[in-house]
Amino acid sequence: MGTDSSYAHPTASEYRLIVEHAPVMIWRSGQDGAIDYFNEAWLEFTGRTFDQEQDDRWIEGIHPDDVARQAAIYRDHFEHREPFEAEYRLRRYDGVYRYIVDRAAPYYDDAGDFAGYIGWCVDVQDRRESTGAKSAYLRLLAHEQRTPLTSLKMYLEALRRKTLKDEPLDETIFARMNEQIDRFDRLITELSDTARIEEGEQIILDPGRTDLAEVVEEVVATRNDKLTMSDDAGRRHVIRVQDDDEPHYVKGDASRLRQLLENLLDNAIKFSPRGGDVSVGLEADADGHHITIRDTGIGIPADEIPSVGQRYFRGSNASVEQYPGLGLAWTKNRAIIERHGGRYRIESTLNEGTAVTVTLPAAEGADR
Amino acid sequence: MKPRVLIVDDDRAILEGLSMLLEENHDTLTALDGEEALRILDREHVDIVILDMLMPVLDGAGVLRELSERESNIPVIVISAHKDLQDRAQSLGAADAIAKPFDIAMLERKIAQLLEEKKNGETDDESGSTPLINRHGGGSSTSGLGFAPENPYSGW
Repeated sequence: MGTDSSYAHPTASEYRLIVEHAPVMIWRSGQDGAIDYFNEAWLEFTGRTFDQEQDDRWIEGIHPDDVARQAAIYRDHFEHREPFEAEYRLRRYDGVYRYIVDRAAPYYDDAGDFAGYIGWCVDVQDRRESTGAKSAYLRLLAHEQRTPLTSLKMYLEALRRKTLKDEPLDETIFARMNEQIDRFDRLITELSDTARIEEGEQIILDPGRTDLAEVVEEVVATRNDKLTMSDDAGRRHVIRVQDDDEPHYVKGDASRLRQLLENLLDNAIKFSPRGGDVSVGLEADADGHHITIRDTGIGIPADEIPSVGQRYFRGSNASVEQYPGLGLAWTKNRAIIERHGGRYRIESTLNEGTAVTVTLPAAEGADR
Repeated sequence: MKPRVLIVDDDRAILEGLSMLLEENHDTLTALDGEEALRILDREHVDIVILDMLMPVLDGAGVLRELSERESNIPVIVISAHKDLQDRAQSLGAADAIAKPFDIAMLERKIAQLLEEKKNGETDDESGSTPLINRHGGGSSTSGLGFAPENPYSGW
């Protein structure tokens, strides 16, 4: 060990500054177990003064559902002089309960006698939420993947039975199977895109000169095909295109722009579950080319519109039971739009519908 | 007369695939969400319902709640990829719940079994109880039929 003569111990007041301003919430209790010290970070978090917190009054800040468990943990460990780590909800200065992790250990004075406990706490609410959202996402993804597998299995069985009975095979069954494989493939693409977004990596672009009008025509034709598939079942969506029959050249990755439009149309259809018209408008002005997708669906609550691009966003009027999905399409949409130097605007009225306008800069050297 | 099956799922491909397969031995009706399913149940005779849980407008749980409110004795088989939703469905009165993806033969067997039980329940005046509810929820079989396997997944 040697000597550490070169090491100057901080003075008492320096120690105090360290403890007071450490970016963690610190508390100390005495031999009797009652807490007799909270540092600045703690008092800032709870928004209370020491007087308001002392003599066990701080316990009022613990979420009522967590108090009994937390008291038991503290009591048990204190009796046995053992360290503990616990998570509970503590009321923040703004009245919001946040999960904190509280780690505490007994400490001993210079003579080696038990002096009480020192604890330090960190707000883990955000971490908990993102972990929760991630596991919800993974559960949903598993579900979404099973859907095409389920129908594939059924088409395959239908095929098997027809073959066994020497019945003529109908082309549509193969087309349907293909569709389900494509659907599965899209989910896998989605998963790898998500991983990329997770890692902060930009989605890969293959830029070229792309005619938006062509992209719109292609995507809308495929979607309309899909929608007529079993119309007798009741739901009727019709996608109508309103454009000026002119090309709309932008500098961009055609496959990504197709994906963007597919996402926007799928959302428009999904969130207008009672059917209705979905319109795709295309126009150009000095700012660039504007695509507007308008539906007559459930809408987005006005105060939530700014959150739409956030990962795992789900409108408070759209439960996962009724609108299963991963909440990631918009994260990707935003990434695609931003990578193209574009911007978007969302207008929405609850129970009337939503209009999303994406504006992309015109390709250089283009006619328009 | 073929028994009548109402298939409720918001996925068109699953509706189509299932109808294609069940059509051979059943009359099939389809609905894309719970509300549509209830409308069909209002005006049509249906022997058994195949029900998805996650759907727009009215989900599977909503359908099950409405059916128990109506004191319906139409057996419901829930198909869901979520284990917790399968459990929830059974607590809401579904006669059975199976995981997606499933073997059609198993579904067909369950349909036949439930229709059989329903028929016996209707003709047997002595048994006032409905043998359709939660058959494998409690571990041991409580249907008085004697031959039903405890584990519906075994024996095939």
